Amino acid sequence: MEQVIISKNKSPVLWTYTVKTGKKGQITIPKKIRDKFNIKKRDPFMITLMSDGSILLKRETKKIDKLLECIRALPKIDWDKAWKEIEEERHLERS
Amino acid sequence: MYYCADSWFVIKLFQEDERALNIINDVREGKDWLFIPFTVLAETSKKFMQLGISKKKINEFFDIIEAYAKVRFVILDKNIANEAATISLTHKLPLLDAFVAATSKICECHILLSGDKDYTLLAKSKYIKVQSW
Repeated sequence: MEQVIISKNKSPVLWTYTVKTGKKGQITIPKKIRDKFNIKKRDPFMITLMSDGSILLKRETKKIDKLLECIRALPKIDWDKAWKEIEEERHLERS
Repeated sequence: MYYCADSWFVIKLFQEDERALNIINDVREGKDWLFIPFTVLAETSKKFMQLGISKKKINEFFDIIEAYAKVRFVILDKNIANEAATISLTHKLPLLDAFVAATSKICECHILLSGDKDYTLLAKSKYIKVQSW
């Protein structure tokens, strides 16, 4: 992948990358951009076709970003199991 | 709409469940209210600590939730305690379940968000309305 950096002060363009589409039309957002904007798996994006033929890819702002950020920072946990354990504990009290 | 959250709903949030997140979104935007009994906070915090999540992280999560304008953590007061004692006896419910159901009733919530099957009898007798998915 060739990277062309256009970082002229007056230009709104910061970086330009060339990427190729995959089998089903997927494209990969370059790691540098993913890291810069903390883009994670399954983050939603809005794709807009502009009248000049360009395609705009805009990250959808999640209204509960802060909450999701907090949840995603946790280690991987089997939450179904956690709920079952809570239920079992409640049942213990009854018996 | 007034919702009351059981620990089940908090777990759903941690699973990033879409419906749970939608409810939180509606609460955050001021469309709905969410009542969380302190007993739920205690029960889920205990479980999270058992799972190795730090107290700091747990507090951070609940602080974010609490910051939403239409979220209320509900204190276990005399009214709720009396109501819980009654339904715990009449419906043979564990006291913790009874505290949650009583909070839902006393706060006049339209729906208790819970996947706990123990609430089936209460829902059948139309004491409270329970929703799960």
